[in-house]
Amino acid sequence: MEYLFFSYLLWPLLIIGIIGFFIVRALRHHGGAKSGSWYEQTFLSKENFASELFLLLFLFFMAVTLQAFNRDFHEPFAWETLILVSSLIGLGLAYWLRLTLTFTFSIFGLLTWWTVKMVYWLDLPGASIGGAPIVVGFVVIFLILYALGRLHEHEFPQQRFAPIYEFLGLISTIILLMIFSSQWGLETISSLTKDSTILSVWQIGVMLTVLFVSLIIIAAYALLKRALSLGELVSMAVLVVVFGSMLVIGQQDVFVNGSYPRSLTAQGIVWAIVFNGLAFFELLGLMLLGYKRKEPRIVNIGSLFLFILIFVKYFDWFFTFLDKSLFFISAGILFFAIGWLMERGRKYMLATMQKL
Amino acid sequence: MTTLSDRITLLLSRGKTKEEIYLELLKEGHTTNDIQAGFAAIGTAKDGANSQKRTINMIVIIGALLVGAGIFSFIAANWQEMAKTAKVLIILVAMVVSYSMGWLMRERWNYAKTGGAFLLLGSLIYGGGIFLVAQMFNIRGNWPDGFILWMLGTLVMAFATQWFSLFSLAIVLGFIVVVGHPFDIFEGLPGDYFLFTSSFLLLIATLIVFVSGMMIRHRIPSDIKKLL
Repeated sequence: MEYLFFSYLLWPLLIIGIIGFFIVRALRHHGGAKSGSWYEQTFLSKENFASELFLLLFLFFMAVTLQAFNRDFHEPFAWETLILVSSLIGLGLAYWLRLTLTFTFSIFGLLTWWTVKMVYWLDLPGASIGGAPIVVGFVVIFLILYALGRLHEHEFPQQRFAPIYEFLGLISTIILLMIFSSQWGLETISSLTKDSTILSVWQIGVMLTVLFVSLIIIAAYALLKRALSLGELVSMAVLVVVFGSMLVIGQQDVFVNGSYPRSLTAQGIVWAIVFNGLAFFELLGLMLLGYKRKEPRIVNIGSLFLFILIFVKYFDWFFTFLDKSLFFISAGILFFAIGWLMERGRKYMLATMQKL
Repeated sequence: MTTLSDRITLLLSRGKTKEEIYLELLKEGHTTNDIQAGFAAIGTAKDGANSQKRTINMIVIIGALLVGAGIFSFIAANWQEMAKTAKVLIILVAMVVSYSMGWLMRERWNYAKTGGAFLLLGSLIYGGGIFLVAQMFNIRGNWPDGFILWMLGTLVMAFATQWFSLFSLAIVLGFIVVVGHPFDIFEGLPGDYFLFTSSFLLLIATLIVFVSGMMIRHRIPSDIKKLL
């Protein structure tokens, strides 16, 4: 079942991403190239670092202790409920003491609880809906995280959480778009969509409604506070509409049955254009947003993922189609050209941003 | 005769900010370029000293790890032939000697790094001792509990000596516990535990880890604390 795969795949990706995020920031900090704002620095002192690690350990120890007592008393609670309780306590503690590590892992805990619950509801007897609600839910959650990140940027002292919220929201959305723009991602659309309505499982209906309403409220508030620009809001709305359509559009047949090489149906072509276009324009938009807001961090994320997207697309489209020697030579030339163009573009953007 | 960088170092040690130092030295007739050069000289000297300190630290820590490994391999090789009393004595004596050497070198003879490495070695022997004693007397328990006891002992020593590497060791041990225990919880047979000791030990460790985090947090310099 593809939705199960999604729920398992996202965690390693997110964990690798967040570890990479902390390592890059730590290295940048260690190398002396300190970020412009204090809140963008990972740890402010040796004591800060050690206390963060101990309080993160406290979160883990608390979760394990609760699970251990639960086992001793013959499991009166589901394990995911205890993860939810630990994560909420961790989140409260993180906000109280401004702990970035505890905060990040508490968010992971909440996402774990949410995913386990959704998988459980999708497997209820009589629930013959596809896995689309999980994917749509993820998109809405990631956008909420992004909007919260923007809101936190201007609130002292919670500014420390802003880059984490934004990073989690942005990277996860980009990864989802990249997956869905690939052949494998397009194939999963068939199994994610079903003709029956999601309202056949009321818990899923309620959960998604709560998420949608939360996103609308947070995004509207962020817009009022001028934390989000109109362009960002429109992009978020487009993402919600495209992914949300999977919930209501009914069964989709993306590839022609039994065809080899796999050929897309008319529906499949539409989905392929939509997701590839979205992935490309989101990354381009991200770079422009970074340029407009004078945020090199956003420009760098955009350019890095644009490079990865082109790399993935080249393999996705030409690996079986071209002669192998021609494929690798063309790839080499393409990469030189892209690298040069991107370096030039990035330099230009950063230089203009510094002048402004 | 004191150089400008010496004077800057003195003013910095008195808690003066960079701006205040600039104002004071400009009033004394120094040029901006001279002051900048003075600050740069301090930075270079500091970098050199820091890298030297790091190298010494690395060498002595590796030394401690190697000696620890040697002691354990000696004990493992001769374990069967030794009497229980001899085994316990070896562990205790090795631990006490390491800790005492560490304390003497740090506090009396002013060899902070080497002394710290001895303290680290003492903690390694202490941890190894927990598992050896458990094996010797067939103590029934879950293996991550041994790491909890090791972590708690290391934490006590870390707070007593203020040697940061011991805090790092305690953190690593803590992570081993939180990774190891779930295997026991989710894969252990029902009833395969000993009077809930594992759970209560976990509870105690949870509280102690929280208190430790808060105690270290109180030591964050006040100018940084304002930002948190």
